[in-house]
Amino acid sequence: MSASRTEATERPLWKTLALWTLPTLLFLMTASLLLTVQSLRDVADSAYDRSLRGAIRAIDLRVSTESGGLGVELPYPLFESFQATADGEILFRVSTDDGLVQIGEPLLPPPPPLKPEEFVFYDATYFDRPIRVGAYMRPLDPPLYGASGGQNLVIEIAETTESRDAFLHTVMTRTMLRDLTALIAAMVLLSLGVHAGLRPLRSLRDRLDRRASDDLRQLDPTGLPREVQPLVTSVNRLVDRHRAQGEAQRRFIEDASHQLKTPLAVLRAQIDRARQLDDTGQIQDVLAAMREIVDRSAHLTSQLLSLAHARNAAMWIDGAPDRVDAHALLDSVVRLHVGPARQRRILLEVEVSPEMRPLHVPEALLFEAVSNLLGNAINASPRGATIVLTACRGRHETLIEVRDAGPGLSDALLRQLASGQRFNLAGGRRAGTDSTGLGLTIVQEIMKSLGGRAVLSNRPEGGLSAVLHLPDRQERLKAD
Amino acid sequence: MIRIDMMRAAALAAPAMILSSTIAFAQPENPECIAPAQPGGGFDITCKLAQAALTEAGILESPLRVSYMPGGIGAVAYSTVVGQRSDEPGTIVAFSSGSLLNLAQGKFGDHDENAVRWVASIGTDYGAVVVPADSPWESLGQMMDAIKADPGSVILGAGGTIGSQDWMKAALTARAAGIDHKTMRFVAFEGGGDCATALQGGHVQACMQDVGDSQAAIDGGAPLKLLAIFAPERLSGKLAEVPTAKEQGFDIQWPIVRGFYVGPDVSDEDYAWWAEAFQKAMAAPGYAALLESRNLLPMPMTGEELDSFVKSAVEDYRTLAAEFQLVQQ
Repeated sequence: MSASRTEATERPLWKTLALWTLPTLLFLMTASLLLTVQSLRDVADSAYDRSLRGAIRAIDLRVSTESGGLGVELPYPLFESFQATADGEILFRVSTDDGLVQIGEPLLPPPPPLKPEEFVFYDATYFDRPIRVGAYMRPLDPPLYGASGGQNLVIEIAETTESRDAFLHTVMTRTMLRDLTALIAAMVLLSLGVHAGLRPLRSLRDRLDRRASDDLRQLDPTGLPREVQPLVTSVNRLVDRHRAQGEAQRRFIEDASHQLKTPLAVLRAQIDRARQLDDTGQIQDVLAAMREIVDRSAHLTSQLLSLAHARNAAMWIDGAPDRVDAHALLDSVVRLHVGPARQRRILLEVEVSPEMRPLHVPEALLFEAVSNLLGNAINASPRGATIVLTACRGRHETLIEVRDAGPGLSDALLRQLASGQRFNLAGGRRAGTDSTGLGLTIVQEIMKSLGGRAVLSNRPEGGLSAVLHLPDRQERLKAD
Repeated sequence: MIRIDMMRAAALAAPAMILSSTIAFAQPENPECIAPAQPGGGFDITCKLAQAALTEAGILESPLRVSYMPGGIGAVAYSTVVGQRSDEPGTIVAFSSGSLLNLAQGKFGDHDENAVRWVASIGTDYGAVVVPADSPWESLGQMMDAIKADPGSVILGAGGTIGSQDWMKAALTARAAGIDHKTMRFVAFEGGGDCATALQGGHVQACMQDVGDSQAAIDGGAPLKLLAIFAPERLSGKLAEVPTAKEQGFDIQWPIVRGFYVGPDVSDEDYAWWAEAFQKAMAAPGYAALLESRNLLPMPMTGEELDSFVKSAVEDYRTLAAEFQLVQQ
């Protein structure tokens, strides 16, 4: 994991939120400020322009043409009242558009093209100072000196813009302060919200911290934010897997110790007895009996290992299982058991349906399962009986059956097995001297790890039928 | 430097002055003098002088009526007399050298100096710089320094806009002071009267106007003072204390001829009547006092003599205006 990734993952939530929201907020606020400034400028202009318009009208009233000439009463007294409300300088020009008359500031920039009876307002510069000019034109009727073409009177009033700039500055400062306050409030609310939103997570952490190390109960997701619930579910699944593994280990140890306790006790009794014996022949007998017990224990141990393998299968089954030919598999199982079967004159038959397809399962596990079933069948069957192993196709599954001619299982035991309950080793032991009692448990664990199941039933004509159901699609065993 | 040689004109005029106690033709009806500005300026003074002189000499029985027709420092009146009232025998219009300057620049509309009949000049005036009595400036030099320091802060009032004679006086002074005349700030008024009012209101800092109208305002009690007079030497009487511009280092002279014209369609008889009337009035014994009370100097010219004087003056002004790139195309 790179350093930058580490930084990114260790960044506090509020910082991440701020990084996502702050630039946008700043952008929006700047945009809104610019819009506000523009509209404020428009508002200020329209307000100030209105007073310019009033001054133009007042000057217009002071223009007299009665003498035949064009006279303007000096507008300075008017400006003095005007300037009382605006701290700028007022400039004026009264002229005729034929250029003969020009009263006031002759250097004011020329106005844009004017239409009669229309007020026009525009910004200009006068002696390096920004000014706002209002211009108005009206036709002189009658025209001066009987001019033939139409003659227009142009009145321009300009004001330096200090006062409206000061107004704009004030309003803009206020607006910026307001926006900044809103931004800070948003950040405070954001961090408060993050704090409040993380409270359930903190309490979850406290709950986990307070837990005993072996407490593998599921977490209760109620009260947690919905966004966090998938995380809790994942944690719960992980906890479950650990619990399952822990239970498997515990069961293995329990099973192993339980199974090994008895032979060890018998061996101790045999040793004690042998020590009291003087007769070599008798000692030989005891040793032979001990040898038998040790053999059985060795067998038991290997079966316990198989069981452990089956139980751990979920941990090590990978995506590429073996391709297993059912016929070959059954033949090799039979070859393994042909010795004991022959001793008891038991006939082993293998029937494989022609439409069998290769099976995608770990061969060792399936072999172990069938081998266990066959071993049980040989033990349970009377001398001279026939045991049939069949493999055939079912609906989306492969069926492997082992039929024996033994006494079968009790109804109670069958129900127990069908309900998925663990095969009770202590109580479920079948008659038979060399049975470890582990066989069916191993079969069950293997089928579980292969995603299938083992179904045991008593046949109407006598004997037990054990059917392994192997589904076609080898789904990975899920821990949950 | 511009110098309109008045003395030469006056010398030429002298032999033509024939004193006559009777006037050959009948007095035109409704005699009226149009002062083509707001009241209180140089045109007003010119008309009032004619009014007084013609009455004192006994030429007019009832006083000459004075009317005001502001607009473009004479431009509107000139166009009116040329276009609308061209044949009113009783109407004379006041003019000054400023009018001739504007004519030279084409500021009087489509008409040139040949569009009217020049009747008489009755006196001469000089340009003056007038400031409020409490102005910080005591000399023309101080004022130009202030303009040089911050052109936008000094507002010069002028009777007439860019190119008018008042503006021209300021522009000449600025040029002499090494200031670009385009950086100076002006407010144009319709004549010296409005400028004096604005000066007292503090809306302009100085008026570029004439001795006659300035001193008239001061005599009327206005708190103003003269900084300089654009004359070749100091004037007499109470104006003797005012230094000339030349004394202060600005070698500029600006004489202002004041007179009258009539419409182009006025008959030769009526035109001659007016010329004779003014000749007679200016020859009357009380005339010198009338001039002095208005702070004017004599400049008696009438008829053909004035006409040729006007034409040569307009030519001179054309040259001057071209120097300042003022002539309208």
